[in-house]
Amino acid sequence: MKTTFLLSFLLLNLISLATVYDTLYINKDTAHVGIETRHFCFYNRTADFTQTNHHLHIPSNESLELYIQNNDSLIQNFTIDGVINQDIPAFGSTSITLNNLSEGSYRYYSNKLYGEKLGASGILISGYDNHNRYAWNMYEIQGFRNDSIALSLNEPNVNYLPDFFLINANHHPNTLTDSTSRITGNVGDSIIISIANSGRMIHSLHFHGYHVQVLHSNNPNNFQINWSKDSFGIEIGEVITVLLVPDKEGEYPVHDHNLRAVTNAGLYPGGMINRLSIQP
Amino acid sequence: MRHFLLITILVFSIGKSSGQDITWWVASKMDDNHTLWDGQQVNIWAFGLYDSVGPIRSTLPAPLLRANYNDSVHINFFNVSPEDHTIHLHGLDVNQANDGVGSTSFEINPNDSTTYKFKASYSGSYFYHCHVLTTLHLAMGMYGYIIIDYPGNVLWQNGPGYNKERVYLISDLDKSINDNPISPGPLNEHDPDYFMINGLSKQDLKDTSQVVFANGGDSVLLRLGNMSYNKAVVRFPAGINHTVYMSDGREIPNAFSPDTLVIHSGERYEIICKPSQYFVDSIQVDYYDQVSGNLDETNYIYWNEQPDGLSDMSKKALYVYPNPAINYINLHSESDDYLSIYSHDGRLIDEQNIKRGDNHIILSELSQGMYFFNLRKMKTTVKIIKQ
Repeated sequence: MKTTFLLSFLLLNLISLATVYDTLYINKDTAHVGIETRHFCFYNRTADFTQTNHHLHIPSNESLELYIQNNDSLIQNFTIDGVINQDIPAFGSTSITLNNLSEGSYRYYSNKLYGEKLGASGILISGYDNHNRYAWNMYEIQGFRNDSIALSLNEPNVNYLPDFFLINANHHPNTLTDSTSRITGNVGDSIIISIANSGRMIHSLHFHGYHVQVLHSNNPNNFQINWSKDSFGIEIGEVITVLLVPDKEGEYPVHDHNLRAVTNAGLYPGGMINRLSIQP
Repeated sequence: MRHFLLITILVFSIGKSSGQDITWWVASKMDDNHTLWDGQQVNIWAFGLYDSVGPIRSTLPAPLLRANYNDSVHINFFNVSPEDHTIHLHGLDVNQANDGVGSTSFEINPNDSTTYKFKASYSGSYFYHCHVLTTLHLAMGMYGYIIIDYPGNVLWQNGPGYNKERVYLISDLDKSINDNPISPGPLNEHDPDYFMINGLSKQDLKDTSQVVFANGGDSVLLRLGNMSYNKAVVRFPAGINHTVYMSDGREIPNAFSPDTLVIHSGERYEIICKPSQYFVDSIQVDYYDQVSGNLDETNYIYWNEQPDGLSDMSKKALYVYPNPAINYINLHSESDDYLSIYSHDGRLIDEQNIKRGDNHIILSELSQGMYFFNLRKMKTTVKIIKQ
């Protein structure tokens, strides 16, 4: 009996100490937004620059062993507010372990001007193992400001007036063909959507067709936890987790309700417009 | 002449039934104008009601549309303008065909019409707005409120009750766009310079049609919604004794009483206030730019005591009595006007001229039920119960 108990205890500990591994490469390069070419910095899954940040997931009761390679010639950084803040030397690397994160969504970013402001900001989802999970990283840019930061490490002294509004580094209509943005599912599915505001302005999101339940926010002042909402704001730096359980089939937009943000270089439609594609 | 939009509704609808077929007639127009607080007029593209003689003047915000919980609602929509429009039923979770988004359903061409349908499954506050070239069409004024009432002046079944109601729609306007909508410039540079509640600003909000009149013992339901390009921060004064119960057409699980309430674009709230005796104060509404974070403007919702012997529709605007009524109703108007009587499902029943002062309206030929009395000049609609 005693032996059985000890074996069970050890087994449980082994299970609870299970580790998942992932890798991030901090890459800088130029990418297209509309007809423009602008400078960006992203946390990629591979050493090759791609126009998106890799989103991370830690299953419940597991830890994440994360290897980060900085391919930039400048010191970069990996920060999750309240959890970790670690610099990574130029062309250097580091390994970090993340565990004991409560179920929810977190934003990781480089706290360097030439990191976060160029787009180095992604989403980490902890838990929600048995759900379909999506991550929407909202980030807007003023194109020439990105170029100035990348080339001179300075921001131009002009008012911030963003001209491209991105979800997972894409703008409408590209969001409609981006499998990380466009949600596909079926009636009755439990779909987790983690939504981060990695930009410099407040965004407000509106769902067509459905209400969603707000499950979690990293913002202690968010008073809408457990509310059922079709529209809600996302403050700068905030990450909100919502649960969508579609009750009917159809194609429905989800978009920023600050309607300046549904444009590309001032033209509608564009920017932060996404799509829900729900089958029976 | 100033046009004061009066969407204030006096609540007298205890006992009205739900589960009926309701039809609204709505038109989209692009040839009307709106007077700003400083007297300037701007072009608006907006919605108005549509009656037997055609579209009625459109307004900013659009006419308030109401139905009851569990009603089956039809919206007969007529586009009497030279460009495509739709009606998006914001927050009502309608199916794809009725969602009013051109890319996933359809747009209504000039001089064409359609009928949108939905079931009023949840009581609460919603918006309707055009979803064609949305950034521009909303900036021009194509938005309004839809309210789904739960019978008995409660927010939901066995929910908190109220005996008075005020509806406030927060919005803004970039005059340069309204002045030149054909070449509005880059829409990401939309920069509002007029900040409104129910289409009014500053001192215009002291108009009795907009002031909350209440006494100790009253339970006043405030419906607040934001269709602006700003973050609205609502600051409640001490003594108003408010509780936030609903948002976006849903009961919230943790009713609360915040000193300030942030309302982002697209959100709606239901708040019940039980002011203390002799409560005279104001609710402050701050408009913060979502890009710069700067405070752009402040407006106020004014509160005052209920004057003796008056309904809270105010002496200046309009008052009616008795309501509910049996054979007749007295209607006091401060100006000559034109009265249209609509049935609960939106059918035009009768029309007649109204003179300044007291008017005796015979109701004996009307069957029992709910009616809407619309005064065209005053742009006021009052709900009447015929017993």
